[in-house]
Amino acid sequence: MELAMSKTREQFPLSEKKPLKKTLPCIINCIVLFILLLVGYLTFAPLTYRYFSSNSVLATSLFAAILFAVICFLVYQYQVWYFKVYFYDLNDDFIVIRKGVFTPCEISIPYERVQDIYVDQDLLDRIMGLYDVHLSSATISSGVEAHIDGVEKAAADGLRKVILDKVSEKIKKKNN
Amino acid sequence: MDNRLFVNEETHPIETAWVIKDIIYIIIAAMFFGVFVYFYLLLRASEKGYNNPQFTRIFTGLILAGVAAFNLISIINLILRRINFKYNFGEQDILLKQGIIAKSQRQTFYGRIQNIKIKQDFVDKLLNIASLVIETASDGGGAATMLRIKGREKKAEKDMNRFIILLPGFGTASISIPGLSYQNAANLKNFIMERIKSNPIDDMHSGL
Repeated sequence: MELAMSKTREQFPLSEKKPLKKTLPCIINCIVLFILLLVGYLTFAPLTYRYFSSNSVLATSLFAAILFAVICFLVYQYQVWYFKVYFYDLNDDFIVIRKGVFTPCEISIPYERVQDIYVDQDLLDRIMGLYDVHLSSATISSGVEAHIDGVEKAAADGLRKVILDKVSEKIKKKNN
Repeated sequence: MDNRLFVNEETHPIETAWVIKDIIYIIIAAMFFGVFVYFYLLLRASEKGYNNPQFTRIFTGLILAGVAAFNLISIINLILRRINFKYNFGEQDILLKQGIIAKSQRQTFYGRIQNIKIKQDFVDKLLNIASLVIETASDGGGAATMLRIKGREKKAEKDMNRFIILLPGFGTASISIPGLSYQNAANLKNFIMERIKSNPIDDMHSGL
């Protein structure tokens, strides 16, 4: 399945590390749960040794490990699919961002309506060197919805510069 | 030439498929809720000692009647709402009219539109329909949530957006026209974008 390409995406591409970054929270949760499971067995085994034979403990641990591995794999595949369907483009008049695999949501903001652009990183973004570019217009929900996340520094700076240039160009044109 | 005649709810209608889908969602939600309430109340009643079969029959009958009545009213409400929702895209503004008993009308100037969203939920994608949401510079309201998902705030907002059944109309600020065919939604979006370009506001510094 091919990427949803546009000129902007060629110029400022999403980082390939993005699906991994989105899967990491799931992986971390699974590992923590697995460790808790083992700790639980170790703590309670001496108390209820009649109920937990070592074979059944091994079997359930193995089952849990396989289950977690399958879940993480499926989540990763979904994130890869999400990464491929992610579409954003800077047209002449407006910015369009479309994302979502099963529930695609597309938001279009004309340049004149862009109020601010902010770039942020959460913890995993900092570890992997990724940035989120958020656009907001005068509605409250647009800051949450209109964002391009998982770009690297060069792309984030480039996007910011291009959008700001276009916005100020549009504003100047109206004032002339 | 005034396009008011050509871009309106007749040329870009809310598809029947959407009305049917919405009806099915409400029926399913009512069933879930009804089953839950039924068993819960039955449990409480039997705790207090009402367990003769005649009581159970009457109680079951009442609950079924209640759920059926709710479904019927919702269906009629949805159909009437769709019939009474009219929209008209003119040269400088969008004229919307809605209301079954209490009528209201709203005009939104193209210059005031902040952003346009096209949303599809899972079933919409299969039916090739989409919802057009036009937002102006007020709180983005105007939708009815049928199911709520627990979670952190940002995730809850995303999940809420997935399950919101957009009713046609204008609530507080955002205008939502659900159930358009995807092509019509895209056409309307491009149409609005052109109109925004040709309707600049005098003071462009704020973008409002």
